[in-house]
Amino acid sequence: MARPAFLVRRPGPLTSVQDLGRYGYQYEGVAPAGAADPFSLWVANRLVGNPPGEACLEVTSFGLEVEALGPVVVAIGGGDLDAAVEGHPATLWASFPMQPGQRLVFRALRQGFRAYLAVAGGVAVPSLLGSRSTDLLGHLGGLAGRPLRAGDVVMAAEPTGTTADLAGRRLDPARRPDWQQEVEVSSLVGPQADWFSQESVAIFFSGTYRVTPASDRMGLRLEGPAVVILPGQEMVSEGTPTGAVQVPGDGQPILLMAGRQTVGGYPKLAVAATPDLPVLAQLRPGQGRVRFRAITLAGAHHHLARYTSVLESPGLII
Amino acid sequence: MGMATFSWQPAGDRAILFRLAEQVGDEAADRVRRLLEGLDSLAMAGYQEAVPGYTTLLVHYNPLVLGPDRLVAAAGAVLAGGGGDATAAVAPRLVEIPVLYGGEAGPDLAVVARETGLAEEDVVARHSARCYRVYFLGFIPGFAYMGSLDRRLVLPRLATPRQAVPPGSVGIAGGQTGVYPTSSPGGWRLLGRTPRVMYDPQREPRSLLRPGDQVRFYPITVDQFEAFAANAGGGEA
Repeated sequence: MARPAFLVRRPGPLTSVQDLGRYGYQYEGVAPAGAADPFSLWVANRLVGNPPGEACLEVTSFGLEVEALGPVVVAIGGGDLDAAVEGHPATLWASFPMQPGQRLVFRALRQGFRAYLAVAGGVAVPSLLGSRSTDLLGHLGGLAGRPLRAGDVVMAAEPTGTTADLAGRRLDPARRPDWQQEVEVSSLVGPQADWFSQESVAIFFSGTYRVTPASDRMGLRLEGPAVVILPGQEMVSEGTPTGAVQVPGDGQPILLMAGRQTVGGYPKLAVAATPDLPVLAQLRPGQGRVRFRAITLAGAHHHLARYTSVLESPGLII
Repeated sequence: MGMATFSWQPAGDRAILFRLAEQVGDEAADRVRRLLEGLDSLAMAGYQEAVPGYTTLLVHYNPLVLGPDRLVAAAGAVLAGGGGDATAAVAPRLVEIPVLYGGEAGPDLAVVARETGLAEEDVVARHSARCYRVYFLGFIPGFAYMGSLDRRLVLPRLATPRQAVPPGSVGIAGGQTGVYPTSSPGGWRLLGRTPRVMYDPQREPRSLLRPGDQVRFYPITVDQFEAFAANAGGGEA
C-alpha cells in the first residue's frame, strides 16, 4: 500500500522522479532517462533498505523544500546541497527518520550539483514500460511525465523494514565521493574518431573544456579547443549511447547525459566511461571543467568491473 | 558491402555500433533489420537492446556478462545467414495515415508551394502519391524517420524552429517526411495534421509505425478529421 510521504512546498529548479532508467524500448524512440548520477541513486536506495533501482527524487541544485506527510526513513546521496531538517543540517550518505510535519530543505550548493532523495519503500508512481523514470522530453513516466511542482504529493511504497532497522545506516566512509569541479574522465575513442584529423583528436585529449551554462540533463555543452571534422563526411542519424561526445559544426563538443535522445546526427569523437558518469553529473553548468583521458576497451571493461563490484559489495552500507 | 561483411566499433564501454552499409536505402535498411531481428531472437544473456539507424545498428550490452567478441561473432553469424531466426523476406505492412492538409492544420503549405513553385494541390498530390519506408524510430517516442520525399518538395528546415508543434503534425524537411507524435519543438515544414495517435504507451501496439513499414498519407476533410478524432480512443485496427 503506497502512503503519502512528502508534500512539495517548493520544487527547486528541477526535481524529478528517476530510477536507473527505462531500457528495452529505445527501438521505439523511448529515451532511457534515469538518474544522471546512478552511483548516488544506487547508494541512497541501499541506505534506506531499498533494492538499488527504486525510484528516488533527483534534486538539481538547491531550492527544493518538502514536508513529510507521514513517518518516513530517508537518505540523501550525491552532491552536498546543504540539506537541513527543521534547520538542522542533515547527514549525507546516511539514513535517518523524519516525522510528519518536518521540513527538509536543500539550501545551497556546497559540493557537486545533484542529489538523490531516497525514501524507504521507494517513490511510488506508476511503472511505465518497466521503469519509474521521467522522460522529460517525451513527457513519459515519473510523476505525470514532468518535473515536480509545488503542491505535488510524493507517495512511497512499503519499506523493507522498520524504522529501527532502516535508520542509522551509512555509506562506508572509504567509498564516500569527493566531488570536484575540475575533473578528468576516461573515454573510449570513437565511433567516428576517424572523421577527425589526428591533430584534432590530440587536441581533444589534451584540452580542458568548460561546462557552459547551457548544459542540462540532456548534455554538457562544452566550450574549449575546437575539434575539426574532416571535410567530405556526411553523418546520418544513428543510435547514441550515454556519455557520447558528439561534435556539431562549430567544433564545440556536447557530452550526452542521462536525458539524451535515442538517436543523434552528429559525429561522435569519444564516449565517456560508465564509471565516470556520476562525476560528470556533479559538474556545475558555468563552473565545471573536464579533461578527457583515452582508454582502451579492455581497460574500460576492467574499470567497469571494479566500479560494479564496489556497488555490489556487502560492505558498502554499514 | 558484401552480404556478410560489416564493420564494428565500440561506442563506449556498453555499446557496439555495427555498420552494415555505405548508402542509405532499402538494402541497408533490410540488413539492419535482419541483424536486429537475428540478435533479438538469439536473446543472449547480456544483450540488452538494439537501436537501428539508416545504415547502422547500435547494440547496447552488458560487457560483464557478454564479452564484445562473442557479440560480434554472433552478429557475423546472423548476417552470414546462420544463427538466430532471421526473417525471410516478409511483406511490409502498409500503414495509411489520414491527413488534413493546409489551413490551420498545415500552416506551412502555402509557403512550401511558393518556395517550390508548385500549386498547393500539387504539393499535396506529390506528398500523398508515394509510399515512404520507415527506417527507424527515434528523437521522441513513435517518431518515424521516413524517406524519401519527392525531389520537387525538398526544402531546408525552418531557420527558426517552432517552440511547440501540435501533436499529429505532418512535416517535411530535406529529403524526409514525418509525423510529430506529441507536442515538441520542431523545425520541419508543416503540411497538415493527422487525427491518428502515433504513440500511446498504454495502447497495444504502442507505436503506430515500425521500421520496415510502408506509409502512405491520404488527404481528408475537416469533417472527416473531427469524426476520426471523435471515434479514436480504442485500439488500432
